[in-house]
Amino acid sequence: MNALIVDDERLARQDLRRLLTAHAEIEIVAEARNGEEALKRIQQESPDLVFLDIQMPGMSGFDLLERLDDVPQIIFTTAYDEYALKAFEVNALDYLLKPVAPERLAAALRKVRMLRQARMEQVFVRDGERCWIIRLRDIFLLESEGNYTRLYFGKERPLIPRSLAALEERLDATTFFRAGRKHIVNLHWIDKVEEGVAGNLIVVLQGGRTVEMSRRQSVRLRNVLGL
Amino acid sequence: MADLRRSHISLVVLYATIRRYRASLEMQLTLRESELRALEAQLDPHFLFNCLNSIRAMIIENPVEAQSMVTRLANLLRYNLQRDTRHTAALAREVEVVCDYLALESARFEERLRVEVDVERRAADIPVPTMLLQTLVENGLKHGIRLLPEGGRLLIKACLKQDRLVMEVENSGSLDLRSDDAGVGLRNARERLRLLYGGRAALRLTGADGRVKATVEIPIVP
Repeated sequence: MNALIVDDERLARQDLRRLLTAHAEIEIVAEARNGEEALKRIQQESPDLVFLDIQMPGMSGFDLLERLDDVPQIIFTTAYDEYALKAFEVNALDYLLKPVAPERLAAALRKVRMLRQARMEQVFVRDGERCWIIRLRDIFLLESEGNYTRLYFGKERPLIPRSLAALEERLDATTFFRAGRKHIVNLHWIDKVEEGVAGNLIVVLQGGRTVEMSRRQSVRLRNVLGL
Repeated sequence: MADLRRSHISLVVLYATIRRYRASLEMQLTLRESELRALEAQLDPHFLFNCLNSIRAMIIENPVEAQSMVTRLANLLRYNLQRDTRHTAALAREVEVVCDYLALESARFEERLRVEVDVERRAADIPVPTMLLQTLVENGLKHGIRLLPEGGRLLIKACLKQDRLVMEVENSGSLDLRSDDAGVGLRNARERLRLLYGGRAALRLTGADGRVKATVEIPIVP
């Protein structure tokens, strides 16, 4: 997980860096000494996680968050808890008091991981004016339309500006199975599997939709399903 | 006999009156005392915890420096916790404590803080309100230099002018940048000066050309 440390004091950044060495999954990709620098670094590096001091010269930690369109996960760090309430108003993930206790840091990072997990299982989908937050497991089919992909869930069919190949990389391969050039199916939604005339497989999804598998993928599917 | 009796009664009345008067005077004194206590500046908790944080990092980076930081912090804490019943202390002692404070802040601010101290030798023993200089210096950092990404300069001056002591704290910054809570510290300081010296002391805040200056003038009380 990529992290950014924002604090105007070098020693404070140093201390946090040292504490984070105990957490190998966190890679510190940059440091920033004030809000302006942090804004640049966040835009350049798009870190997953930001340790953010509140009181800084120029732009405060709160001001910085207001200027971000895409907000990474935020853990506030501060020396005194007069800002605690405000930190939660801006949806900070957690709030650490300096000097940071190692076990408090560990607890905050556990929260980060849990939330990341939950986020990965959910996706935000937008098609023009409409948007949805859906669980990945509810998507039963993905269909390629050029550089776009149509998602199928419930009665919705939004078209999103991502290629099927790009989406495939981000999906769990044990659930989402490539059917051929144009389709990825959710294995949990397969109702029936039929044999096609060319010896390939045709899957029937719950709800009745059929998807023809390529010859190569048919072989793999047989293995996966133990047919 | 009747005369004696009458004078006895008037004595009793007089005694009672005096007692009431004393009680009210004492009450006023206690009130002034508690007002003064309430107005006295406390060490900023934000500073304290940030300082502990820097020390923890310094322990690994430079143990000798970390030790000297602990000593300075101990001085500062002791001065704050053991303030005796008097409301004033010798200027030299105040300056000493402020210097400990600034040394600790320098470790945090690093090159962002440049300090100069210029105290006239014959002003050293003049009693000044405790923690007043400290409040002005803290304000100068918190609402001045700290807000500047490149940092700035802090200048402390004290000198005698006839029967008055003039103390100045000048810092890089601008009055426009000051937030409202900068006003609270100053208001309390002014109120303390009023209680201690009546109308004979003054505290002014002026700003020009990227510098802010707080000037305190107090009478030299023998």
